[in-house]
Amino acid sequence: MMDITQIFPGIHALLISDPIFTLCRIILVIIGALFVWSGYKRITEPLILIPMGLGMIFVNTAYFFLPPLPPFPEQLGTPHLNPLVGEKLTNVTQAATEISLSLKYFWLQPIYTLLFPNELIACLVFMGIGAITDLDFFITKPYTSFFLAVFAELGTIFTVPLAVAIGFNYKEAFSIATIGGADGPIVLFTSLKLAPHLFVPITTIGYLYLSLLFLFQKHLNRITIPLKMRSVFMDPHTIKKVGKVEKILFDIVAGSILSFLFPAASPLIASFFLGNILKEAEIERLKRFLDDVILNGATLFLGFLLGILLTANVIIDIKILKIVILGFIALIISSVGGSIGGIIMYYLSKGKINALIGPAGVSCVPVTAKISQMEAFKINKRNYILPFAMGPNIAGVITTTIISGIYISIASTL
Amino acid sequence: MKEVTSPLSGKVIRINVKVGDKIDENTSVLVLESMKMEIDVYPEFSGVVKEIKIKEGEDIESGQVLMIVE
Repeated sequence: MMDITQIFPGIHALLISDPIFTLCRIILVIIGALFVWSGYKRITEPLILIPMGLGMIFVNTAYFFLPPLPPFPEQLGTPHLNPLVGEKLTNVTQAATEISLSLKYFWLQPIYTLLFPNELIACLVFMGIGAITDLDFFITKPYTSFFLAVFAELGTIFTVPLAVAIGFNYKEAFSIATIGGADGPIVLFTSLKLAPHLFVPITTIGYLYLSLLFLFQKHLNRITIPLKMRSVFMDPHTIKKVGKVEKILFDIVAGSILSFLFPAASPLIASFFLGNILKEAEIERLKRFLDDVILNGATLFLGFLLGILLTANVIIDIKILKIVILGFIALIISSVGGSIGGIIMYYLSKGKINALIGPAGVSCVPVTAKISQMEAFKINKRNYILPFAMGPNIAGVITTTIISGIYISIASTL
Repeated sequence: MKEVTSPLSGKVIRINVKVGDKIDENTSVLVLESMKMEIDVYPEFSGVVKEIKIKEGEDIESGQVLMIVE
């Protein structure tokens, strides 16, 4: 008579697994379901958290003994993806064989192998962001924008010593600290470069927090910025119009200077300015392609694959709890720093700048700028501060990219 | 005759009024999408819509005339 565990190999894997491992699987399935629910209810950002939550559920329910792939033995795993494929093998031929077999066997392996280890997925997101970004206020007020962005990136700097103090090495600390920039692609890019062994938890926690920004940044804004400073009316018609030629020149000059200074971050810089120059040159077909296809497609696979990568093996490590805490601290420092920058700018401008544009310097484009706009609308539905908030928002992206480039340069000397 | 102008650049998602409608400062005359955000546009005065200068799906610039109101 056939054993039930042969019909349902998932039950067999469950019965022989370590109880702690099984508990972690159950916890991740529950968290995944919570992610899906919170995204559906729009408590968090649904674009990322619904695919990520679903990925976590599927990867942690589908454990079984994978059929042997000669010359490799039977092993416990999931049919979705093997992120460590070829990495433990020093023999190049064996590694190539394992990669080739994995591409045939795991359905998400081609997407992962093509897009993740070389950070291409982060670059695709940046191309899409470039294609939807209006640089008017940033170009006319670069100093104001960068001033606010620096305050809103303080978490990216101050979290490094905290992480080192609790036992992370500098490369890991740099990667964790980038969560303070709330810029998912940068977190992914930096952690893949500096701490590939921790890139899954760091990036997942980074994306989780930037999805939760929707929930908590508006409350932080209300707590940290007095009503009078949040009420300042800003007329978008006062923003000096920047000509197309100037914008295209800016893309070329700024992109090449940044690439020259921070070559390690050049893929991200090139991607952003490529998207933006296609928008400014009014090449509608390519702009729409980047916005509708590339940005949406990359966001979908990024969210889903991060969920698929979040297996029980990943969270069993005590380091994960530390990253959860450090990531939260990094983001709170940045968000409060943004409010402080906004308040200082309110006084420097003699009350003409709405302090809400400060927290928009936390560089989650365009989410934090949208949060600032929504808060301004709650006080006055005609107060369109979005174009002003986009200035520090874009400066935030550039500042985070610069900080990432500096961290990668410093790490290469360690 | 007065002009309702766009506060932002973006894409017209929905026009909420038609020629002949009475509008005031609390009427959302149209919804714009700017930076992936849907934004209601409110006029600064009341009156009757005489002419609508834009179409749904059209990309518009900040300051562009959206409708004429009498």
